[in-house]
Parts: sequence; structure tokens; C-alpha cells
Amino acid sequence: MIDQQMAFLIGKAIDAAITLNNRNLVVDHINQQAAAGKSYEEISASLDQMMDDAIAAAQKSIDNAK
Amino acid sequence: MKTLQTLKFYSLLLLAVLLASCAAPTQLQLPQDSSVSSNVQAARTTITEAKTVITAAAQTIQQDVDNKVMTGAEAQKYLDELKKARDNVKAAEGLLTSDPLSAKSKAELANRLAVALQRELTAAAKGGSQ
Repeated sequence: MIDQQMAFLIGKAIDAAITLNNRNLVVDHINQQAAAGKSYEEISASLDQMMDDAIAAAQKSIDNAK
Repeated sequence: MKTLQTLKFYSLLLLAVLLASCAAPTQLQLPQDSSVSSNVQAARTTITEAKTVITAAAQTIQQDVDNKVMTGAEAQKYLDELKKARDNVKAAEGLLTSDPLSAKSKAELANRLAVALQRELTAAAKGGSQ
């Protein structure tokens, strides 16, 4: 019982860390572009592409899992 | 056998603690543009934050499905909500120059939804296997 609860908590901690890591990777990408002197419009267009690609990739994984 | 399981368990616990301590949120740093109003600048930041959360959440969904911690049907439900949030953020961006206050408020709403969805996602991924 204790083992199951601990496994649950460990799983949660790992998931939260992975999610935060995903966010940080996106923010790093934006910050690198800003540091390189890109305008908001350029950064926004690049981020739109990343967002659309991530959604398309998730959809593909879901379709493959069905 | 029991010793091996315990060892595996504490290794995972250590990994979780290490991951949690290493992954502090990175601060978003958008270029400051003096040619636009502070309202536009604030709206731009909120829109970018919302897009960041949506992108990260979509990546989490993909990883959860690939790692089989979430079923395709469950994941589809979350992804459909994310797609709605993406449409709302894009609509907010369309209002940036004409109505920056509405743009900011629309983007804040989409951001809140995406953050809530991401929390649900983390809970669902492991909660489903309980």
C-alpha cells in the first residue's frame, strides 16, 4: 500500500518535472531568438509554427494509438 | 527480489527529487519595443505565455500517448481543448493592434485554460493507472 502511494507520488513528481522541462525548452527557444535580435513578429511566427507542429505531432501519436 | 524492488524504488525517488529541483521555470524575455504601447507589450507577453503553455501541453500529450500512460481517447479529449485554446490565442493576436486590452484579456483566458488543462493532464496520466 505504501509502495503504491509512493509510486504514485514519484510518478506525479516525474510528470510535473517533464511538463516543466517542456515549457522551459520552449521558453529557451524564444529567449534565444530575442537575444539574437529577432522582432516580436518573427518570434511569434516561429512560436506559432512550434505550437502547430506540437499539436500535429500529438494528433499523429493519438491516431497511431487508436 | 524485495531488496531489488526497494533499490529500484529509491532510485526513482532520487530521480524525481533531482528532476524537480533542477527544473525551475525559465523566465520569458521578449524584446522590448518602444514603438508600441505598454498595453500592446503586455498583451504580447500574455499571448506568448499562452502559446508556450499550449505547445508544452501538446508535447506532454504526445509523450503520454507514446509512453502509453494515457489512452488515445483520453488524449484526444485534452488535445481538442488545446486546439480551442490555440484558436482563442490566435484570435487574441488578431486584436493586438486594434484592441490590445481585449487581446490581453482573451489571451489570459486561453492561458488559464491551458494551464488548468496541463494540470489535469498530469493528474490524468498517472491517476488513470491507480
